[in-house]
Amino acid sequence: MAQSNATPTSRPVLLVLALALVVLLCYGMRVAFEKPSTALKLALPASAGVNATFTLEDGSRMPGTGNLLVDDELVAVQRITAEGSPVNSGILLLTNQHTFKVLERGAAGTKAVDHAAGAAVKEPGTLFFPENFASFGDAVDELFYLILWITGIAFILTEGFFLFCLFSFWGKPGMRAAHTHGNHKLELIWTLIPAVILVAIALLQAGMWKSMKMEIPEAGAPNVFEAQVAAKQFEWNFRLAGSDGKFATADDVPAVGELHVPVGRKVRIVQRSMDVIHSFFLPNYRVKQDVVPGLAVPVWFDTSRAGRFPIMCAELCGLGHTKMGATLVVHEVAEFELWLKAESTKWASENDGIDRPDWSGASSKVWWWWDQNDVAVHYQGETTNR
Amino acid sequence: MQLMEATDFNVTTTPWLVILGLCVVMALVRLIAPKFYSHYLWSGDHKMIGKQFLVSSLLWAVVGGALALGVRWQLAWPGTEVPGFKQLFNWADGGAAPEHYNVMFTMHASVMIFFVIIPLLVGAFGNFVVPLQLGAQDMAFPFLNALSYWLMWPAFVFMAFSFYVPGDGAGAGWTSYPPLSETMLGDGQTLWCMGVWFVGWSSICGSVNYITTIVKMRAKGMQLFRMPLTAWSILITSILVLCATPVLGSAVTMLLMDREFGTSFFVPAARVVSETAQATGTGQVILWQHLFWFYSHPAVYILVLPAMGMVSDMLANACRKPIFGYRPMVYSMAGIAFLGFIVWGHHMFQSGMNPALGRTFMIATMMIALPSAVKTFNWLATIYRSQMKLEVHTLCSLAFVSMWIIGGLSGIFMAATPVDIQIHDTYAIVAHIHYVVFGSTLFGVFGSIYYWYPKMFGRFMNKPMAYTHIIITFIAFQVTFFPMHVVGSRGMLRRTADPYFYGNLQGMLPVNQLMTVAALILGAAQLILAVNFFWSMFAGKVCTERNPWKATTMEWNTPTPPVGHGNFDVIPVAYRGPYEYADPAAPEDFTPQFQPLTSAEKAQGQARAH
Ligand code: HEM
Ligand SMILES: [Cu+2]
Ligand SMILES: [Cu+2]
Repeated sequence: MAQSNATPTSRPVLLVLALALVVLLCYGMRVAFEKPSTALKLALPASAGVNATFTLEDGSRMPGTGNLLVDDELVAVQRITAEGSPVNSGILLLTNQHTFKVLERGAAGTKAVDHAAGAAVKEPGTLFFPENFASFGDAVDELFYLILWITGIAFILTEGFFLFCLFSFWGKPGMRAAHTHGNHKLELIWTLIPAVILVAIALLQAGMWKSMKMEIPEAGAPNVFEAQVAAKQFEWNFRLAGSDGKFATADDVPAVGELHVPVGRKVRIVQRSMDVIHSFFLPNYRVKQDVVPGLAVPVWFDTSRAGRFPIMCAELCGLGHTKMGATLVVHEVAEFELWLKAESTKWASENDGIDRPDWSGASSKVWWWWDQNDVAVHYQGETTNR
Repeated sequence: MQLMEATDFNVTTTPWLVILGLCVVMALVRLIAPKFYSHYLWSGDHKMIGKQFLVSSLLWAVVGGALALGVRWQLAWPGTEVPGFKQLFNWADGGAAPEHYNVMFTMHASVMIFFVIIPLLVGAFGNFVVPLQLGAQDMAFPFLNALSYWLMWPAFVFMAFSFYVPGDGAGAGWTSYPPLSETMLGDGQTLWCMGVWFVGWSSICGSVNYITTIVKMRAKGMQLFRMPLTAWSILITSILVLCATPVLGSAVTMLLMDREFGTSFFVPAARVVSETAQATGTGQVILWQHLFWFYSHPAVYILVLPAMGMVSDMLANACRKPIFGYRPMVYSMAGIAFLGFIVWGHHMFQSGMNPALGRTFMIATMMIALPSAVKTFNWLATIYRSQMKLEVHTLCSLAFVSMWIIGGLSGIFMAATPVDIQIHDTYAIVAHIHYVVFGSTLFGVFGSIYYWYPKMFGRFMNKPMAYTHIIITFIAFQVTFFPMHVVGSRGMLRRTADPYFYGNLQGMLPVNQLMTVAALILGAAQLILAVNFFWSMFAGKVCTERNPWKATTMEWNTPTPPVGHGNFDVIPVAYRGPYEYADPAAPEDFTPQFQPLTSAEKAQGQARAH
């Protein structure tokens, strides 16, 4: 038999090298997957409250530019959007780049502000996903990292084997490759093992998907806060029921570009689009749902901490798509009640107490349209209303 | 009738006039130079048609590539003019405005998919290689074959015109979701629909032809399970094309009717058109997505199956070793093709489709990863204990295998519905697409060009240039596309002209600039291929051998290049399977299909029969 093999002696060496590479890469994965992208751990005093500005140790006041001590790292930040938006913890201040820009990060320096000792601060996002604040989000992230581990190991094993072959099997003159056309047992093994893994992944997520997309909290159930989203080119319109708790009444609170919700509630949103498909994307809450003209698609998430979070439009909707952003503002409960009451009264008087008003303002047209064209709340292909 | 309206004159008439003009030119050429006409233009010879597809696809690849660089330019230096685009596309802003950004990514994808990859794989290599591999004299229907090429030309004209019409080009993405694709005022979108429609016809004509040829025209001894995997892949792809393309054609027709003739297939109730107008239809917006993906999911496999087949052929040749698990390779392709028809919903998990359906599609999608995995293992096992020979097509097929692993694995994330919520419509998807279509398919195509070039043109391509091209492309490709996985899952959206509008994406600018620089290098490297391709045609090293790569399949039994119309100067007979490399009993390390059986083999065969 003209049996093969380029360099039979160097083969074990290569094999060891390949294995070492595998171990090394696995270790690298461990480090990379678990490394927080920002090591910002600091909470500003909760007493700071709404619309507070902070005096920083270097004397400057927020808004403006200042330094914060985060763990033992000195971070220079600058407020870049309007003053006075509510900020009540350092972590939000730093991750909420809508409001602040991190100018510079360096070694320990002066202590910038008082620490709110013991305030719960979540680990910020890892290498791949942005920070999560939704209750179902942790499971999603875990699933993501589980798949990352499985595929990562599959990747390292297959590519490791590939590299091993790549270095070991260059032809030598007069040598012949192994003469084999296949091996049924091997084929069976490498069909069954991935099959089991894939089915396992499939089963694992079924419940998760159900709780995210199919078990939408009922309107009116306790602890459920309702909001409406009307998307149009290129603007997010939001409406909250006013003090009377009902929609399509005079005291509804409309807003453009800002969705205000209280902390600690399940937020149930009904979305409709006036023109083309948009997609409601809340990266920090693991929420994405297309907003489809002709349907009223439900979506939900819950809020666990106050702060401001980006809302993005994820579906191409035309020329202004790239600028179709908005902000989710999560308030502390007490502060939210006050805010809603004030807004609600303001709008009620503006509408002269008339329900379904034929508002004249540009954004109110949206709600006029909404109230005139009722659509049952459902996904496509679903007959029952929610 | 809108078509007749004077205001529409430029848009809907000029391309038709141009097409008519082309027909007239063809007719004139036929009169004046009938030989030239029947040899280079309306040729019935599958080899010439293959070359026609090859050259026109490579030319369109330049356009598609330029558009891609335009997109990358905007992502690195938002709002600045892309050099040359002002002149090239007649855009005053040089591609800096969002409307032109939208046109750039829309047309990049449309051109690459419809004009480059599909015609390259099926039209060029399917045409050139398959009849030769089967030992056939030509395709079953030469006329249909020529028709399938020339039907591409109206598509070329429409798509090219779509850049220049008033009101701007098609900018609703290659997926062209209505209502956006219906409310876009520019006529580019109409022309886009026309273009896709003609591409569809071309594909259908081609697929009928391939299926018939493969079923009916195999040489003596060429049993189905002696066919090389390239022929198998083209057979399976053609079945996909035949079943899926009519759906796309219908969908595009419906879109056209909605746009031009006031139907409302995709117009929902109470859609606001403008300040004063409201369109009310009884249509379903999501219907388009079902129809589109019912075609386009199989289409993504149309984009890769033939490359898988060609890479299998090249890999066996490069490794001097039979393909490991030939039959499982065939079955897994068939499995992919079958499953490919029941997974389209995985593009629609967040679309508002009933989430219960999403679950079904999720399970089917998980299952489609399985045959893909089987193929990967078979390729790896083929390389194991082989005797690789350093050639350009060796590197290309190795690149294919290693990149395919990444593209396949990233698919699993998207198949997992909860994870897909986060990464749908982000750059993670873009990374996935490009690992499968560029990393795998395009490397397969590069390899195929280098591999079959001597048979096509009777000359070798220049090797140093080829190595330089492949190595730069491989490295630049990784730098361009790998980081997209990370920025995508962190939230960077696709199809946004200026992602840095979002505070949470601002930090990604430097990475994007890195990717753009790599992309520019990647683009520049393709010039090496272009130069090499055309230069070698006239000045490459002459290849007189029939079988320069010492391969085993039937196409290497023809003269180089194959004789005129009819291909073979010997009567082709297949005596054995397609991958008889490294048989220890044989005098050489390869035993071609066309090599008659030795007396020992005959005796063995008879012994087995008794
Ligand atoms: C292992 C097998 C594969 C799996 C499990 C898989 C899964 C998926 C999923 C779930 C999506 C939708 C993601 C989203 O939009 O949210 C997707 C998108 C896509 N896949 Fe794959 N895929 C696989 C292989 C392939 C192959 C072989 C190709 C092409 C050669 C391909 C090309 C594409 C393209 C072009 C898109 C994006 C379409 C678009 O939105 O523009 N995939 N894939
Ligand atoms: Cu949008
Ligand atoms: Cu798909």
